[in-house]
Amino acid sequence: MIIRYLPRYFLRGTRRNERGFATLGGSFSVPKVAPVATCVAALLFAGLGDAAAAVRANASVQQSEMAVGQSNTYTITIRNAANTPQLERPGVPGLAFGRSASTRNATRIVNGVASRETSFSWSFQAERTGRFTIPGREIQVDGQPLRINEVVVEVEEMPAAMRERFSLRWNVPEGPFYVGQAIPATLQLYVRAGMNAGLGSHPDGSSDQFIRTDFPNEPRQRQERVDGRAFTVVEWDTVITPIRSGEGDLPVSLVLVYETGEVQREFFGPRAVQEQIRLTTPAYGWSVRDLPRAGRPESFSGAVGDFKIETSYSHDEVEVGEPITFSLQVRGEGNFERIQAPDFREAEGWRTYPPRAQMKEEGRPDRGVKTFDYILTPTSETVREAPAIAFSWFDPEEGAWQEAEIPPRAIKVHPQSRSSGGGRLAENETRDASAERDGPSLRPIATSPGRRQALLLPWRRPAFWVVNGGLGCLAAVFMIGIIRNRRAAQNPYLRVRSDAAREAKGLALQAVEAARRNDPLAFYSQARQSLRHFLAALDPPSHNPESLTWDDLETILRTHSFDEDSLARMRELFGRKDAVEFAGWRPGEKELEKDREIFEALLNQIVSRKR
Amino acid sequence: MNISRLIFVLLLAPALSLQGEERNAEQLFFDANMLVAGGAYDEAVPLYEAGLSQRPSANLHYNLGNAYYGLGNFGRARLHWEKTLAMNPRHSSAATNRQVLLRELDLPEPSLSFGTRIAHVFSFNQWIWIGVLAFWWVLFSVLARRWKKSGWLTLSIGIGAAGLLAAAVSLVLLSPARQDAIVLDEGASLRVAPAPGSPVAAPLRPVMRVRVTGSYGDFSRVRMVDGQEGYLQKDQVEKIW
Repeated sequence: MIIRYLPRYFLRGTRRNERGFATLGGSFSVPKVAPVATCVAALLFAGLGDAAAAVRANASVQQSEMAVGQSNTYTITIRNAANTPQLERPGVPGLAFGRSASTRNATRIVNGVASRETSFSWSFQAERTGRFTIPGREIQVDGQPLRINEVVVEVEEMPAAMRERFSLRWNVPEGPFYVGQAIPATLQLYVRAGMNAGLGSHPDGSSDQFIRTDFPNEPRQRQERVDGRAFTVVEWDTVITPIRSGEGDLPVSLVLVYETGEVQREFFGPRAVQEQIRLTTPAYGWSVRDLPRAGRPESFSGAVGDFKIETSYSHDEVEVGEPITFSLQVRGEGNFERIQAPDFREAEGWRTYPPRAQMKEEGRPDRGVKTFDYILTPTSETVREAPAIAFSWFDPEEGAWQEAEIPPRAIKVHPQSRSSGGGRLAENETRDASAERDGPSLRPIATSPGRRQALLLPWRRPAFWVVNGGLGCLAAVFMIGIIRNRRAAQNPYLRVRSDAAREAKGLALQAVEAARRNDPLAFYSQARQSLRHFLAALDPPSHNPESLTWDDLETILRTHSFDEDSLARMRELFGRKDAVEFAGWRPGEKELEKDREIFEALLNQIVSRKR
Repeated sequence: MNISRLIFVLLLAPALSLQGEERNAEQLFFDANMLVAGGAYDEAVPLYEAGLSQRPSANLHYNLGNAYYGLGNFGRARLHWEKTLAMNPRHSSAATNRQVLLRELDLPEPSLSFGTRIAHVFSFNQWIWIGVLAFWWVLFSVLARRWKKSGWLTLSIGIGAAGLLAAAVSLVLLSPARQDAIVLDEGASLRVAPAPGSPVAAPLRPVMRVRVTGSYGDFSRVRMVDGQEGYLQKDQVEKIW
């Protein structure tokens, strides 16, 4: 449209010039300007109209240059799409994009042509310096592939003035660190005193080399002077645990919202301008080592830290089957969460239970006392001492393995007295004596196997399908019956036809039965009636079967294109009833048999016509 | 004549074989019970297990749990009691023994919401059957009502629909527990990653009930009662269902 229109205009214009009607340098009169304006307007409108038809996409950023931590916006605009596509959040290492996009829809009508524009915007902050490319992508819009362009963002260092105002850093003890070690750490946010700032997000960050306990929801706050300048310090305590060796760090970032100091005048009055900045901990390159294999004690059960061991026994004298409690207390600083109960070295003559573990923290998750309560029950009076146990750990401060040996403890075991019960009942006694006395006792075994039952979903058994298949068939039959009944109720033709057919079938069966018992009168009589009903069913509701004369029947037969032979046989069969009844004619057995066959053949013929 | 005899024998053979199998399983059950009464738990366990493979039942699982308890294998004891309760939530002996075991080991007893407690009136499979039969009940009542309108049929549809709703709600409430498993191994540890050398996220005790949320090679991803998630070697845990 545009391509055709342009040359025509310019050609026309050129001709005018050639003929001297108008010159480029001359003054334009209104009649001469009007076509130009009309044409330009038409061009514009036609161009926009054409643009409305094409689906286009464009990606852009609010600022192509930004500083670390600064907020920016990445926008993808799709024009003229009939259906709005779903776009995934972009992922670029070093740029932290917001979780969800804000969407904006706009519709414009230009020159009668509507165009639609949908924008998806993600806010993002840069976590480090560098040149980042938000990659382009291909999406499907209205079933067509659509290419979205890539966008480049240059990220520079945070301005010194900004760095002096805010910083986020880790405060951890000096390394080296070991795999499994519980490292007490504090995340510190420094904000220059006097700044109006608030947290825009909870600190968050992870690494495949370290795990950490959750940051508390309510951090500590204090004031500190650094180089003579006052800062408000916000602190979150956590415990970091390296899970593999090598160099690495645990970057954590948070969003800070602060007032810039500028004031914006609005309808309701002046408003302080706020901005947000993402602060990220710098890369430390913490060195993590594997626990040394050399000298690793057999009893090592995961403890890394600095510990002291204490033990105690509840009794020194017991009877066979009477439980005693052995407590192993691990006190100090370390990875208590990962400490497992050590095993007894030799426990012959003792029945042992998995110990109960209890942790009592002392202000921090890596400091406190972990107590393992073991239940030991002597099974024989020959036992003289409680079994030995050892607890070992790795001390990261010393960089060495430590082991505490708990030697066997002398215990007097007396034979079981009558009052204490015996045998296996005693073995099954609980570690908690009070719970034992108050709670129910073990129930005996069942004496009958009960009915066959398995943890198998019902539809994996044939019985399920047999039952449902049967019920389904029954429902289908029921449904067909209902449908037929409803159809018959709505359509009298069908009802008459159905009734006539049913009656005819009954009479036909009676006729055949009469022929078998050599009763000619009954046979011919029933056969005639049956044929009447069948033929009436061919043409209901105009005919009452009982009142059909041979002439009526002949008309029906001819209407349904029965041949002359069939007509003759039927006429003969009809006449024989009268011959038997009024003329005393008696057919022979063979003749009756032959007539029965003719009757059946005629019935088949009628039924086939009926279908 | 010969063919009909052959068909008769062919039809009868599975029934006879099933009957023989049942008799054999019952014999195993009673033999194992005798061994338990004599304190020979280790000999009773294989007999119960053989009985389970031939003719499983809630009582067989229950007795097997008792035998494992006698052997001090508390993880398997709880596993079989839990299986008993999954088959028959009203099996009071299995519930009591589980309670005794958990108290002994100082482990928390399973806390059920009000709805789940109500749903435990029947087992998961029973609810499925109730739901299926209620569905057919509603369908036939609706069909019958279309055939002939009656107030009784309307009431019947209402009763069926209530049964169907109750079954659906109960199945929704009970289905998460179908992923539950029991920790069997004394040395089981919840690891932070599905690798044998991965650090331990939390020590586990046998008998603990965990929920299996995924499978990664030789490891199962599990969630503990307190919500902590981690990985557990598959041979250290066994699902109830």
